[in-house]
Amino acid sequence: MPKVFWVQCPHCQRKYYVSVSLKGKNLDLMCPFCKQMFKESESLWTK
Amino acid sequence: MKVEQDLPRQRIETPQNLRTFLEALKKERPDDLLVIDKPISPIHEMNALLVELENRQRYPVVLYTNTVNHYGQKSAFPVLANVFASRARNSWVMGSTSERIPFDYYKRLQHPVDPVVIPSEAAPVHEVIEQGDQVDLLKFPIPVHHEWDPGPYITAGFVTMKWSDNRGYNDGLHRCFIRDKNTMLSFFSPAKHDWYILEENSRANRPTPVVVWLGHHPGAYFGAQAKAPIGVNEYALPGGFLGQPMRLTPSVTWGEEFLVPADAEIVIEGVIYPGEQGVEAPFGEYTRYYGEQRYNPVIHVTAVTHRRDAIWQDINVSHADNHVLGGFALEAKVFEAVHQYVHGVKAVHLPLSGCCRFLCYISIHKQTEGEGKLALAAALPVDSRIKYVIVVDDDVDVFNEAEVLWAFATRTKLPEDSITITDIIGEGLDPMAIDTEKSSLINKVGYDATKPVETGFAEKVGWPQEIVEKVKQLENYVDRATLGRLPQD
Repeated sequence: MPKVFWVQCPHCQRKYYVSVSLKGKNLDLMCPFCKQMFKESESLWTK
Repeated sequence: MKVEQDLPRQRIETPQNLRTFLEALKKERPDDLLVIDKPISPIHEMNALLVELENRQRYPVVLYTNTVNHYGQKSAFPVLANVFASRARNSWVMGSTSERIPFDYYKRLQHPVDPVVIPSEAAPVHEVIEQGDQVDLLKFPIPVHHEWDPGPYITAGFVTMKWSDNRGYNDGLHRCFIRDKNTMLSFFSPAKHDWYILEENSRANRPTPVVVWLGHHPGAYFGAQAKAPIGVNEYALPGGFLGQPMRLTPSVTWGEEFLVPADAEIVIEGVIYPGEQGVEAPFGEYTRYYGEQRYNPVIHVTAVTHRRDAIWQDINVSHADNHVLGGFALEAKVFEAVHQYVHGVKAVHLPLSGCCRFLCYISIHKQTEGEGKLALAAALPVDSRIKYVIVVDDDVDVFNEAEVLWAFATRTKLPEDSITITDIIGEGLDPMAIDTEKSSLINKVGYDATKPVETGFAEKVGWPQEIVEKVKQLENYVDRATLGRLPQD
């Protein structure tokens, strides 16, 4: 199975990846670039 | 194993520490120390500069003396990095040679030295003690290493825990993300010893005391990073490399119940509560790729102690400083494993090209058919990170990758000269590993690039030894200036 899924920060629009073990868990994610918190459902794009 | 109350209170005249190392370096290898006194930011700049030096094949110890903290204020603490980036320098520290490091490392590990305890008042690391609201990790100029890293990370800190029932201390060189002034997060790989300690405590619903110590003599790092069996007091391992017992002192938070290295530059004490996790990473890993964002245990810092003029030690993770240090322990383990079956092991090298983890070259004095594959069978399972092993004859220099690949190209016939293990547990950080629910699976391949012993084989070209020695004096044929102008390929 894939190890990661990509997200796009709704605050600064930058993209990075997250462990697939967090997928669908509605946990807080932290954008490493702008440090804002957001949920997977708020990500502007996922892959 | 000795428990705390049995540890001797012993006086050591000249305790080895980071400062004694730096003094010896200045005296005996002055060109190995580069002091940067121009202003430099801990955010990306320090580590990018080390990488630029590495790109130019330069691996000095670098001391940044003009730094700023995470409030943008001039910092009182210098940053020291790249201590472990040079194999030659590490072998000097160990009193060994580049080629002999795995053998000498293995020997030193066989002779642990029980630590000794000194009172807090005599411990240099207790010159400054900050507890509770006084704790502020952001006062240190802790580097932010890579563009995707979410903030500063401790990369030269040994995360130390205790087994319950006095089974001793366990330490591991783990990254710690500084979330704010008094909390950190760290990543513990499943099935590693500290992960088991956390699991044990979590099941018993009790908090886990944690100490992170950094800034010490490189010998302390060599010993502390060794992988020892459960039950070994890992505070005893640095002694074999320091040539004296490691000095410990009672921690501020737990007193004699949890001892800490007295000669470290900085000690951070904290607690992990069962089940508490927070978001951490991505982080630039030793693989030179970013590891993914995850949820990891939170460390609540209870105390920070340090020398008055503490030096913040950093390891340039994802590059030589990190790779070379971790490579020795693996080389020693490979030597130990292969030597049990093949007596003619001549050299072991985990090269930088494989991050000193994934690729392994072994040379043997082959005496009978099958020894090459025996060496492969012994070496491949040694560590989950070792993926590819090439065994060569002892006329091949395993520290010269071009020679190893020449032997591979000219002395193998595949697939007969290889062995493959599929779907074996590997390293989760390996981007090619396939994750299952509880483990990461990889394939391992070994290549036997040794010549046959019992049938004829082509002879390597060569020249009489006296001619080889004569032409080594190139200056006798070409003047130095002309030589310097010749283009390098």
